Amino acid sequence: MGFLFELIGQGFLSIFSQPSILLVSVIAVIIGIIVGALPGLTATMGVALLLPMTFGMEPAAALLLLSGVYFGGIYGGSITAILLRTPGTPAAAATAIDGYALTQKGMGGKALTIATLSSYTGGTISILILMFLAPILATFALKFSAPETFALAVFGISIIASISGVSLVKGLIAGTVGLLIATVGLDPIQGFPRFTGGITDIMSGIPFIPVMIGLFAASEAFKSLEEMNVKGKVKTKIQKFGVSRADIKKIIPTILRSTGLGTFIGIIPGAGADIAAFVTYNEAKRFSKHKEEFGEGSIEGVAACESGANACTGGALVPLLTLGIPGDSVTAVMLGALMVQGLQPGPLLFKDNEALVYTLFSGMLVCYIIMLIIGLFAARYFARVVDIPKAILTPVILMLCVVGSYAINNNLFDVIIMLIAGIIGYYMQKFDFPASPIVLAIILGPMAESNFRRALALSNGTYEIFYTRPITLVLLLLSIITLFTPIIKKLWKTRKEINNASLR
Amino acid sequence: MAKRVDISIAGALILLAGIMIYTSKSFPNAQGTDVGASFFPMVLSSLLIFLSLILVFTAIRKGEPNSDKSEKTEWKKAILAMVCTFFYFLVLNYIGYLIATPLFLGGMMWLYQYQKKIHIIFWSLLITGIMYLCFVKLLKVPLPVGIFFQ
Repeated sequence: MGFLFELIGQGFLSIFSQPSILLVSVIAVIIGIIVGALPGLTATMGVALLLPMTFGMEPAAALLLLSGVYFGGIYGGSITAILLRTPGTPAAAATAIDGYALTQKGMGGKALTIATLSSYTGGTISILILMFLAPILATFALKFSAPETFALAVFGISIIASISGVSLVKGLIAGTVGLLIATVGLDPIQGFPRFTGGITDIMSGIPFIPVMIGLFAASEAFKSLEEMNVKGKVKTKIQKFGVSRADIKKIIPTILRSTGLGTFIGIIPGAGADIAAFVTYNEAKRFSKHKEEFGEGSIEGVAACESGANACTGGALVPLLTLGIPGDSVTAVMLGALMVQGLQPGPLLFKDNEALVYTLFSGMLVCYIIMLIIGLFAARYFARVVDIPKAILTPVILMLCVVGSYAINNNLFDVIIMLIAGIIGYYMQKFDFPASPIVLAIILGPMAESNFRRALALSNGTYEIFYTRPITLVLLLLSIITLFTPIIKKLWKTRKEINNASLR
Repeated sequence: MAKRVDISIAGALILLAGIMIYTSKSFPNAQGTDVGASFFPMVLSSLLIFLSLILVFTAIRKGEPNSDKSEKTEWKKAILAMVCTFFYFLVLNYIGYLIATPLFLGGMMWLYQYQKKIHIIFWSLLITGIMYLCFVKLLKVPLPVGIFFQ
C-alpha cells in the first residue's frame, strides 16, 4: 500500500511541476462544461472532436485533456438542466426533474451549488476507487492468455444487447455489421487481405477514429440542424448560492450511497452515466425520509443523480484501463486516444507505463478540483451557451470533424471514411439503429478473432480450451447471460402482450 | 414508411452479407489448427442474414406506425449540410485550409439563415484563425495547405 501512495505522490508532483498540464486541464474542463451544457452536444462528441488535437501532445497532457472534457461534459449537462430545464446531456435529464423545480422556487443557485458539490464528491471518490481497484484487477488480468482475452472480448461484444436502445434486433444488427467491418484488412494470422478491394489505405483495417468522429460528432451535427429553431429561454435572476449546514447533512448519505452505486454501474460495461443518474435518483427516493419532496424540488434528488452520474466516470475507466474493454461510447473514444499515443490499454499498461498511469490518476483528481472551483464560482454563466446560434455552432462542429479526421494521418482518405460514417450514422439514428454497438464491435472484433485463432493454435485445434479453463468459462458464461437476458426479457414481454391482446 | 424502410435495409444487408460470403470463399483455406481467414467473415455474414430476416418478420408483424410528414423539409437541411461538408472536403485538397474554411463556415451560416452578414464574416474568419493557431502553431498538427500553394 505504501508503495501505491508513493506512486500517487509522484503523480501529483509531475502534474504540479508542469504548468502546461495544469493549463490544459483547466481548458479541458471548461470545454467539457460548455459541451455538456449545450443540448445536443454530449461528452462523447466533445471527446471525439478533441481527440485529433491530442496527436502532437505528450501522453499525459493528451489523456488529461480528454478526461477533463469527459468529466466536465458529464457535469455541464446539469447546469442547463437546472436553470433552463433543457438537459445538456441524457444523464442530466434526471437532474432536470428536481433541479428545475428548485429554480422555479427561486432556489436555482442553491441547486447549482449542490449539483457542483455532488458531482465533485462523486467523481473524486470514483477516481480514488479506480486508483485502488485498477492495479489489483490489472495484476489479475496479467495472467490472461489468448483464450481468456478472447472470452473477454466476447464479453465486451455481448454488451451490445444491453445498449441497443429502441430495438434489440437493430442493435444486434449494428453490432454484427461492426464485427464485419472489423474483418476488413489483413487477417490477423495468415496476413491475407480481406475485402480491401485493392485499396491500400484499408489494408490494416478500416481506421476507427474517423468512424467514431463520423458516428458520434458529424451525424449529431447533421441531426441538430433539424431542430434549428428550438429555443426556450427563461431569464430569471439566479441568486442565493449558499448551502446551509443542515442541507449538507441531509445530502451526505445520499451522495455517498449514489457514489458507490454510480461507480459500480460505471464498472459494468454497457451502463453509462445516464443509467446511473436514473438508478441513483430512484434509490435516493426509496431511501429518503422526505419522499414527498421528490419531483417538487428535492436537493437530495439533485445530489443523487449528479453524484451518481459523475461517479460513473471513474468506474467506466476501470475496465477500459485494466482490461482494454470500453464499456460505453465515451470510453471507446478514450481507447482510441490511448492507442493513438501508442499505449495499449490493458494489464500491461500498469506494468510498462506505471508512472504515466499514476500521473493520469492524479491529474484526474486535479481535473475534478478544477471543476469544483469553476462550478462554484461560474456555473451560472455557462447557461448562456444555449444562446449560441446553431447556424454558427453546427458549421464549426462539421469543420472540426473534417479537419480533425484529416489531422490523424495527414490523409484525406480518413476524411472520406468520417463523412461516410457521419452520413450513415445520421440515417441510422433516423431508423432507430444505435451507433455505439458498431464502434464497440470494430474495437473488440479484431481482439476476439486474433485471440480465438491463437487459442486454437495453443490447444492444437480442439475447442476444449474454451470450456476447460475456469476464467474463460466464467467469462463466456457471463457473456451468454449478458447477451440473452435482454432477448429473453423482450420475448417475455411480447408474449405477455400477445396474451393480453388475445384476452381482450 | 418505417416498415418499408426496415424491410429495404434488411434486404440490403442480406445482399451485403451474400457478397461477403461469396468473396470469402476465395480466401485461403484453414491450415493446421487455424480456422482460416474466411471463418469469421462467413460466420458473421450468416449471423447478419439471420438477424436481417428477424428484422423483416418483426417489421411485417408490427404494422404501420404513424409517420411524421412534417419532417420532410427538415431532412433537406441535414442533406444540404452533408453536401456542403463534402464540397469543403473536396476543395480543401486544392485551395488549402486557410481559404476553404472561412468559405465553408460563412457559406453554411448564410445557408442556415444567420441574419447578420457582418457577424458571418467576423465569426468565420475568427474561428478559422483560432483553429489554425491551435492546430498548426500550438499543437504542431499540420493542416492541408492546398495543392495550388505547395
